[in-house]
Amino acid sequence: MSIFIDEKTRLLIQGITGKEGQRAVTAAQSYHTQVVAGVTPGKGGQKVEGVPVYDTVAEATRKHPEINASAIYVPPFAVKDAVLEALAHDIKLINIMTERIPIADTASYLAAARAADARIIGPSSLGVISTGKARIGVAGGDKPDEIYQPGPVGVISRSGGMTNEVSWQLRQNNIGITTAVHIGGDMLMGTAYADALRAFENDSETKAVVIFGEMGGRYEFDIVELIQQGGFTKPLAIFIGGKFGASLPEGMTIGHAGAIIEKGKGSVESKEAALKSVGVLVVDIYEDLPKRIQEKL
Amino acid sequence: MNLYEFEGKDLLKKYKIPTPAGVVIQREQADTIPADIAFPCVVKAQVQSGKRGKGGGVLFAQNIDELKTHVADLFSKKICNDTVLYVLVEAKKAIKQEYYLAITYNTQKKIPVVLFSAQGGMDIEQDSENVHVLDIDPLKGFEEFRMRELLVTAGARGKDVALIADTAKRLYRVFSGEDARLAEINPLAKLEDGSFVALDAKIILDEDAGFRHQWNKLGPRTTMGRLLTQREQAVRQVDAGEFYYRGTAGKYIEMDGDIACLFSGGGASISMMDALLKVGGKPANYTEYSGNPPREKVAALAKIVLSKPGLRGIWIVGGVANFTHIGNTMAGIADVLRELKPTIPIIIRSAGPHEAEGRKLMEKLAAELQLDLKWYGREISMTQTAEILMKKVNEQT
Repeated sequence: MSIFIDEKTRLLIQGITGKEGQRAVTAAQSYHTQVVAGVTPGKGGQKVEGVPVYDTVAEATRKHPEINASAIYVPPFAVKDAVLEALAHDIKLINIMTERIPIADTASYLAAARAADARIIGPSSLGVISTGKARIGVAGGDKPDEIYQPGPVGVISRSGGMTNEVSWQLRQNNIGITTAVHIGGDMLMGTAYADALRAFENDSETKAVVIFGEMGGRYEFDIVELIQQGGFTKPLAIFIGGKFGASLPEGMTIGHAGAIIEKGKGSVESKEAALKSVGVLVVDIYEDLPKRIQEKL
Repeated sequence: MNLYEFEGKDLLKKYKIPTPAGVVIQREQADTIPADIAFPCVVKAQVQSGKRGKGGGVLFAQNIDELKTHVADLFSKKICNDTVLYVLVEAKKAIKQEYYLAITYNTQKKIPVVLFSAQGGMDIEQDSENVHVLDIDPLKGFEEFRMRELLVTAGARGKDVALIADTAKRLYRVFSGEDARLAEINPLAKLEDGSFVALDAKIILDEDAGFRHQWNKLGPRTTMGRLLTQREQAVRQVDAGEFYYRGTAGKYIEMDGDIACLFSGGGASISMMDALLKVGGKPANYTEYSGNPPREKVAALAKIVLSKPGLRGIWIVGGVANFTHIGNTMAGIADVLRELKPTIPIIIRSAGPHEAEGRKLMEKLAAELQLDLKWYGREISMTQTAEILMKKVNEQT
């Protein structure tokens, strides 16, 4: 098994005719994933890598009722409308790749997704890869097999680049991966750590999870809460980057938008202590994630 | 983007939330105090920290001489490690009670929330049990009746309930209309006559919403407690323009150290700052480029980073890239190395699409210009190259 996507995923790409959208088609097709349609308003009737383009999601889903996931590659100002369009046509998995979306727009479409019982991954996501089954986005680049081998570990990352780097470190230690998901670095995430952990908990093939985390926010305390409530019971190892941020003035954003230094939100040290208290393995350098999780497999 | 108090109050006024009458004195006009100031008055340093009261940034003046002394005093020093560019002078109000009112996002519920406390003032973060929270459903927006219910629960009575709820409604308009991440009034003061006035304002704008506002009209502000350096200003221009969201190469914060850092990827960048500090390295800057920026953007960034005086080492590092073209980004950095011909150690750790092209280019350049450059790929971790670099740097001195 895997989480979020697998061999049954039938993908729509919104914003398919842009540079990023076109690359997404190739990336998905080259990794076991069927891209059945694309949407770019005003460009209906074209084809991208053999994939038909429609003006609206309504048309795309009418002609291809098998569509069950959408990847969003439209510019920041158009994202909210694109997500609402996908939700209106009953697409239940939406992976948003666009970066720098206004947070108010994100709060709004996330609320709409909750009402529609749909899952959003992102925004600012690089994508999701379920080893040997499917990928949305470009995790693993042009040679995903060099990094992603089947195995028992799930990967959650706040950083796109580090999704791949952490997966590579696992590979070097001969540890395979069920699904790696880049949840994005924004302040509000459709799928935060705790949401992804719930999904991995329900996946029988995933035996353990590693997280690449970043300072900022209080997302790690949500993990602690989830474990205390019994919502996640598998071994978990985490790395939290950005300790140096404690020396910066409050209100500074470094790395990703979510990594803002906010007053009263807990230091990396306080998060690590809370995580350790519920049995999470906390590492000081990211390449120790495979070593620590291996002991638990 | 953090707004200063007076900028935040300008937004409050736009939505008809009462604020005290006041004047802003700019740093370069510190000698010319306006004549129409009523005494006693409060003299407030405009800084980005929320703790300026304790940091000596809020003073009171009874007459013009005291005011002049205080203004000169506030401009002469740093308040909460921040350079004071503006001082706000306001009439001192007789306060009956101080409340706390704020709107921000709850990242767990992923919604906006209104926070209210009948005990406003300093140290509100330490007093969370007295803070009442109203969840806002983004699909419904702000519902004033729910705010009135919450205020009654919090102990407000009579006219206060209506007046505070009205202020909250207006503050929500500020929050959503101006694309804020935080809109905070602390304290919201009840005066002797029963009216309410915002004595302070802390507003953080969401920079990602800048395309639908005219924020470039705002005046200068500090970063890291000081004005931007020339190099920092120059880097900000790298990502400007219509397609600002396509590939990032415009983040640069200057620091006191001597190791030039060119990090690829947001997550890698903050982790590698930690790694460098851990092995005793002192970063000359924090910089990140990501999202497959074009060669020209990388070159523009690299040129600024590598031209800082006093460097002892150069660290170019990134994780195994997903789609960033290593050949192209390295070509951008190579353009700059060719121009500057640095003699200090250069350590690169890079992998991903077209990595062979990038490596060949860099190694050829190193041989040609006799650079002290070493390339590492995915065979070792990024963290390990911090140690390698610092060993080389320390051997040289």
